Amino acid sequence: MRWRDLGLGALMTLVVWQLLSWAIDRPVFPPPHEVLAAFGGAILGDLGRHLLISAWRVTAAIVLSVATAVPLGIGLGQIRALNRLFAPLIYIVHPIPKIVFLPVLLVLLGSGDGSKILLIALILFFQILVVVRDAAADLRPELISSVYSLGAGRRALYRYVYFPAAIPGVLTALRVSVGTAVAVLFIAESFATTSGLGYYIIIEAWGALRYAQMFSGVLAMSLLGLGLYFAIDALDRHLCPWREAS
Amino acid sequence: MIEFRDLTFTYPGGATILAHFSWSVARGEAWAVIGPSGCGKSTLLMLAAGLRQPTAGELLVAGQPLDRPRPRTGLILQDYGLLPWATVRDNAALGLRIRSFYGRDGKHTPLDEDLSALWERVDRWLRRLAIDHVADQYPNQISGGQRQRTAIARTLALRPDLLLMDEPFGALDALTREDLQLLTLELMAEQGLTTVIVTHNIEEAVIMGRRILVLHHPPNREVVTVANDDPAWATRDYRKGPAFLARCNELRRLLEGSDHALA
Repeated sequence: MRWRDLGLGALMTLVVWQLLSWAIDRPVFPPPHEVLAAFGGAILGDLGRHLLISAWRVTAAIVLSVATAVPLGIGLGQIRALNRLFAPLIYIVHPIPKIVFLPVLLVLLGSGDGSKILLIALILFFQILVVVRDAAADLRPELISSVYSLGAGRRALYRYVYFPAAIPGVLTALRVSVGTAVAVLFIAESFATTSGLGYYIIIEAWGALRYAQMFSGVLAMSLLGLGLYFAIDALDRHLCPWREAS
Repeated sequence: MIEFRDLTFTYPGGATILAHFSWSVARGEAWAVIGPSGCGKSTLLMLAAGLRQPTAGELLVAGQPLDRPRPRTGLILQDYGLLPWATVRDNAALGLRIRSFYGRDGKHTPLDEDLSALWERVDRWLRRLAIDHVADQYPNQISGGQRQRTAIARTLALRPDLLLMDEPFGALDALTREDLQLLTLELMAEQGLTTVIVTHNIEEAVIMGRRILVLHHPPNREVVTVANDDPAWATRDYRKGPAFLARCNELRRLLEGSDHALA
């Protein structure tokens, strides 16, 4: 997306927001200028801290899920017998909404960062696993043979074929699932914790009827999601320039 | 250079492709292998490349038994085997980069390999194959002929002594195909290569093969060869002369003598 489109989108959001605020005309839906003032006042303090904590949790979950799902996905895609063994398990577990494991994770890992990071990582893990597995399985045997005939062993095949072939899939999986990940983070942070944007929005602001503050939290959460999309797009342009060239 | 000694190859599914098959290629020879679809000509090439192992018998390349691809053997396939995410230059450099990835270990990389001027070597081959102007483009941005040139550059940059090609020009239009056939013949002479090219096309077999191996429906037991010793062979005008046509007809008769016509 170009900067001009981005500015236009932001402007339209503000207009719709202002109109809705007039139409609803209640404290629970404050106009943008009040929220922006509250946001400006808090982002360098309390809100900023909660935003950073949430961002850290998502980032850690992305790193954890990529680091585990990519090698496993390549292994499954490459070794048919392994895939035949695990495909039914993945088929059943993949569609389970991972948020239902929140209580279990809270009991096992406590209410700190660990349970939240692992919950989000679980969501991302299955998305990435399935996409990477299919990308590795779809690599044409001719391509593998010809690289093998250039002298590649297993290590070089990973380095020059399987890993680069997995990158577009990883980015697509992240793009598809990062929105869900942030939403789940919000739920996970909204109880049994004292930090993160979910806590800020639900406990600190909503619970105390501070609506402008609540919306500044919503704004921060939106910026977090948007920031992640931008980061994924930038990675895509940097790592996969060949996808745009055709 | 290549020796099939009483070699049998059976697929795990049960089909025997070669049965007690003996065939040898001397150093510097240019062979074409022709036969109908499913005759096992690609299998024969995969065996020579070390990508498949014989079920019984022996296969020697440069005097050594083959249990994995050999560093000095180059392989070029029809679908080019280029990495879609790498530029022409990076694709052409792939073999050399794999060699520097392993270092001179004698297994993946010949012990006497010098990788100090890797990119100069790659660029020299890009210029030799006239694809230096598309060096920074990706495979999906260039023509089929340019893609095949990239595959050739990638293979020749490794200084092979044996070049195996499986239907290398099958996906190209007639003129590009003739162009690349001539270029390949030129490079074969220039680099002193031993070559085996697999094709289902009679004209291509006569153009590219100084000697031609004819395979029939499997299992193949006896070796049927045609010697193509016209002095004009490998010249630009060869395909226009009567000797070329006569050789094509001879080959056609041999193939029709097998139980099925060519696909």
